[in-house]
Amino acid sequence: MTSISCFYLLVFLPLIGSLFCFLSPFKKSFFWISISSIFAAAFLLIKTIPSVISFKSIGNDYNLSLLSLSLEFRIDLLSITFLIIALAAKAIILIYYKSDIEELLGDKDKGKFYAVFLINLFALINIFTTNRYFNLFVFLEIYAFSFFAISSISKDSGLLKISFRDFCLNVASSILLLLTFLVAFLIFKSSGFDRPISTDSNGSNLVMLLMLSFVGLTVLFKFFPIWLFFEKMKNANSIASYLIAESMIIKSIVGFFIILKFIYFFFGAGFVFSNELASKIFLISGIILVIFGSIGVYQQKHLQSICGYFCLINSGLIISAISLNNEYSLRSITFYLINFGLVNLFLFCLSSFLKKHLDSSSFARIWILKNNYSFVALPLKLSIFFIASFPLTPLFFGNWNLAYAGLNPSFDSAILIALVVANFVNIELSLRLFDSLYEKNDSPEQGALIYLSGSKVSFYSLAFWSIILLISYVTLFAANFGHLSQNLASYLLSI
Amino acid sequence: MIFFILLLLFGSPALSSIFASANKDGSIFKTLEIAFPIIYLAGIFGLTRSLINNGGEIYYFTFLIDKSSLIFLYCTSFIWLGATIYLQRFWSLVSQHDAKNLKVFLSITILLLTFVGVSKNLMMTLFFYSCIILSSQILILKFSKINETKYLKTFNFLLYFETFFFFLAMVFTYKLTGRIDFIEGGIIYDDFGNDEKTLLLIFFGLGLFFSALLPYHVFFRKINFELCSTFIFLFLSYGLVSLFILQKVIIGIFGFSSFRQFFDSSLINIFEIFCLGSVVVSSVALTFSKDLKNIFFNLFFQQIFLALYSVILFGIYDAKMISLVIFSVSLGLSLFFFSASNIEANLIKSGQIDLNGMFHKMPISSSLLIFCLLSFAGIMPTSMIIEKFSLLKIAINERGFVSIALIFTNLISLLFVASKILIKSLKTGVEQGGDFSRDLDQDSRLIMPAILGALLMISGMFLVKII
Repeated sequence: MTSISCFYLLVFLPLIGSLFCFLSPFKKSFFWISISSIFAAAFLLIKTIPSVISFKSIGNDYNLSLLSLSLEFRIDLLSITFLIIALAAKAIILIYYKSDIEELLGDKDKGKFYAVFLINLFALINIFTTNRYFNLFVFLEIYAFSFFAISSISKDSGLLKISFRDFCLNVASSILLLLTFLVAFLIFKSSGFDRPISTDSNGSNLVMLLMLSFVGLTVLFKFFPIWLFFEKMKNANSIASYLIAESMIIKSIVGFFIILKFIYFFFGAGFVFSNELASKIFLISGIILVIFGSIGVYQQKHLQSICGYFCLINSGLIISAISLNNEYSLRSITFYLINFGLVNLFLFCLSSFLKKHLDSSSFARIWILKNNYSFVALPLKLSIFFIASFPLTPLFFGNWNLAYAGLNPSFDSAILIALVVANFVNIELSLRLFDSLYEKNDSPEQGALIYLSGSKVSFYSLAFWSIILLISYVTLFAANFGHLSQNLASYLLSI
Repeated sequence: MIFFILLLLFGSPALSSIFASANKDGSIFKTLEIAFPIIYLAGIFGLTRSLINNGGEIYYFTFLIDKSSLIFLYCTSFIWLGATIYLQRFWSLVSQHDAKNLKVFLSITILLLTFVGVSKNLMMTLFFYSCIILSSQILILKFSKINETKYLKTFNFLLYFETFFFFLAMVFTYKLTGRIDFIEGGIIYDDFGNDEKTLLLIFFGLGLFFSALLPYHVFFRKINFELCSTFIFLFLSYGLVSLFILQKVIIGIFGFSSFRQFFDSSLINIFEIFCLGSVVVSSVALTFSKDLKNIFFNLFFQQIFLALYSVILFGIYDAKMISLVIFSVSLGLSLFFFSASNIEANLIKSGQIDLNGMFHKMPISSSLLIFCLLSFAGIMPTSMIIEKFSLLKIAINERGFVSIALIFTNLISLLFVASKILIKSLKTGVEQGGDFSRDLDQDSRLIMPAILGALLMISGMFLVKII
């Protein structure tokens, strides 16, 4: 009962906060309400973890009755893992870009922004915790609408065009998703993720394959539209950076969650991986993504673009891990998600800082930052350990589990190609960062000065140090996250 | 008790690096600089006693101390003490603008080597090995000249890539055995397939020597490393630690009996041919070396490949000799560094470009240099003669032409280089050295580490049974 009441608080808190932001005259409280909602949600989730581990899932089901939309939920290891990481990333992004957003908005628009942000948060939490198809569809739409609304504050015509394109793709994919759910309801008599549809003998394989392709396209266009934002990567607009971070990190996390949810709870892993050819294609596409991202990282000289390609590499590794479908590969997903959500995000935040204050996020600018504000640059030195996948870091454990899963005398060992290529690029990037921090350079711009006000220096120092300390915390308690990943893998394989 | 000893071993290089970074010149700091390696050595003496009392093996927290790690720590201790005494005096005579950073780097390397030496499992070994590579990057960026930077960056990049193969080796070990600890007798059981053991050994081999695999350094013609850079970066941070880890893997992961059994003749043949090729290329480069810096650089590669070959062969045929390789190569290359640095300093000060008449100007340093080269060849009464003799015995009895060719390539090339240096340095009619040459050659603090190294190498001949 306590778990259920915790959950309702988790879900409705952002909604209440949103209403408050719309109506309240206290402008200065909007940010604190938003951030408190995220922290409260994270706290409630962490409190629920022991129950979820022992019971495997906690739910309340009203089976498509009128109450279902507002009161139905199911929270399990999959949703809790992804949601905690997504909330952590969301908090970091909001805190980091808060001043830039508020500078752009007037007092009048601040309330609207935070209200929409909290609706977005509400939708996000429900996407991870709902168990009904229709509810999932509704919350995905709310999420997409609120994201589009947030992007409208940028007042950048180029960015608005991209956002509109993204929204159109989203609409198209929503239609495909709705069709899929309708087919599932009509043919397989299923309205929720309680049991996979492949356990029902009513439907044909052809229909399921068609549904699988619909879902595949939906996931690609809804959650991985990174290519749309690539051209805006080098934009100095901080709002663009905020939206790209949301799109690149949060949406991708949601995307991976949806992939796993559909594979294990909608279609059934038995159906998806029964065809060896399909598994191989899945694995190869992950490897290709890693190689493509690696080539991109190698060619790029700007940290912001490199972050985009890094996300591709991480995505490729996660997709490859899913395709192997064994205990160790599924364990690696947790660590890759942590790396994706924290380390990549740190690099992106740093690149936004360089872009905003030094006009470029190229490596040459890092030396200037180090010369002028060494305390702000110090976290970057520490991040080299995490980027180079030193032992005991999240990326190391991700690679460990994936290599363990792939070291078989079978086609699975092709994953080692992806690991070698990804590692090559990680090393290359860490050496480039190292060189930019330590290499002496006689060019005139190396002596350039930048000026930041005391409050900005404090803010950026605190921001970068907080993220690095959070990543270090994860590293120190890798054993706990190892148990979580182990439980998650066992849970998924038991479905 | 073990806790305090380990605290001494980790604390002294850590504190030394902190004091070195303070860059003070007072007598207290200079005394402390030498005191730290002495404290370190005292710690190792204490560890030796504890090891004897504990029956030859100590497991403490995530640390393992056994005979092989103790020998490694003794070698590290000698190198640190000798280098500190030597460089402190050397840099007061020959100014070095980045001496402070070199001191800091040396202390950090010793600290990390200590951690590697007492690591209980592959994970900790990989972590500290990666830290050594990372700190080497600083050395490259700060100290290398423009011509050398490209080579060093390539080398260091390959070192990082090497760690990935080591990582794969670690994962594979865990997959086969369910553990990654170093255990006396090994953790790889005899009933594992030869294919798996071979693949594992290949991963470990690539994970430790990938960056030195191909002699691509011959294509970087303009490189001319300072002796100090070769000694600290190539030898200390790479060669010595890689050899030691390989030794630890053979003893603690494979175990001698398992290693001997699966290493069939076809595999050894391939390995021999590879080593022969590498030694031949290095030997040719060595014979064509123009100055002491180049000689040291090519000597390093030649001896590392020979040491690698020795470790593997002793691992298969004569396990008792395996620790002697680390002992010999570390003392030998240290001795070469101390004696060659003296001569090189004299060359720089006097403006001389060759070694003509050097024996008359600096008889002690020149003698020690020749002594070192002939020891490497295996014809001087040092521990290396025992090593080379054992190697030759195995080559004749168990192996064949390729092994014998390898040993003789080493011998001939070193004899050639030694005789070339001797002929030049014995030339008469060359302008006599001034006070500076005499000062360098007779300065006790410059000569003492080299003489101590030579004495240890000679006494090593009698201590083979202990080693």
